[in-house]
Amino acid sequence: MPELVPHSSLGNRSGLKWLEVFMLMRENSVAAKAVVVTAIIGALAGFFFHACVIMSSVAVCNVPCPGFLLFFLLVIGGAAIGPVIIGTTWMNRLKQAMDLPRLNASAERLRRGDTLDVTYTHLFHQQIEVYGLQLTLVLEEVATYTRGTDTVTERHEHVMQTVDLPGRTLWDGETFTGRASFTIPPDAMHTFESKNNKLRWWVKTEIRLSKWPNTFAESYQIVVEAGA
Amino acid sequence: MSQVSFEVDFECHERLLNIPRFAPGSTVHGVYRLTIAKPIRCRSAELRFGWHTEGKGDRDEGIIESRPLSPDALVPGRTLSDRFIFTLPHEPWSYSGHYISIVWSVSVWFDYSLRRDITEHAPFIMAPD
Repeated sequence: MPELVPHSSLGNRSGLKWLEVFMLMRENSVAAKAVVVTAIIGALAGFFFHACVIMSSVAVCNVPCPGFLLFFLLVIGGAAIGPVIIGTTWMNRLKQAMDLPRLNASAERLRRGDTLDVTYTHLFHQQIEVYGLQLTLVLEEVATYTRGTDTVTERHEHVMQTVDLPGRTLWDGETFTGRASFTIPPDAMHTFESKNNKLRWWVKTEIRLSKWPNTFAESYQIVVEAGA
Repeated sequence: MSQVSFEVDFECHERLLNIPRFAPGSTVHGVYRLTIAKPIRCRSAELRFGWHTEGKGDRDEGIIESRPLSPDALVPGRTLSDRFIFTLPHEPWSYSGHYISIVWSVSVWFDYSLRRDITEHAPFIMAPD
């Protein structure tokens, strides 16, 4: 059974490791918001530090002000340090707790009425209780429009089918496995992509845990073909 | 009063919600009638067969075939009529969702230089059984 590519690993395929981390965090935790907040705080800290240096040097020592290059380095550096620290810490802690889940599927490309069999596997590095695993088949509408100079993207999900699997207690080094079958509805719309409008099919997973990170979610894209 | 009246009679045996339905890959036959009510001073005019999106997102469109109409023939009081035939591709199907709709149509399009273009549609459904 081929392994489906998780949505968060698109960052990995681009070669930008930090993009993968951010996409994982965005899908899974409020830490992504903390990254944004620390970026803002870091930028403000860099700005005020530079402002203090200017004021003190002019008032006391009459030393020429540091240049704008140093100013931007402080602001940008301050904005980057916080997210890097948080992202690295979050990812390292996650890898100590577990591997990233894998989803194998009977096919990546399907048609209406086809059955999609999936197997979810998740290796944990600690004793943990899995409360349950939810797998959801979703058709997502993505609409992009221009409002003045801004580009806005809005999304809407149609939940087609949900499968809830029971959990169990796992020991350190054990793998949690869950299997489910979905049927692409007989009146389903096929995958569609144009510049501003997209219809995408996803299998979404969410596992609930007794320990941090408490829940872990991921999305895996499939293609529903129109067929000849 | 609108500048034009555009009607299409599809040769179709199947209707869905009173709209003609055609299967993907099938051939669409019909007759169009374009009646000019007021003078039209456009740069060009065209009969188009294709799809476009409607809804929240900016408009996307796909033109399968187009047929130019002579602006000189767009005389007030005159009705242009002709048969048409074109073959549908296999996708995209017609769709009506929360944010996005995909609409197939036969349409007439007038290109103006100093004002907004005018388009009149005669929609149909393209979907499998």
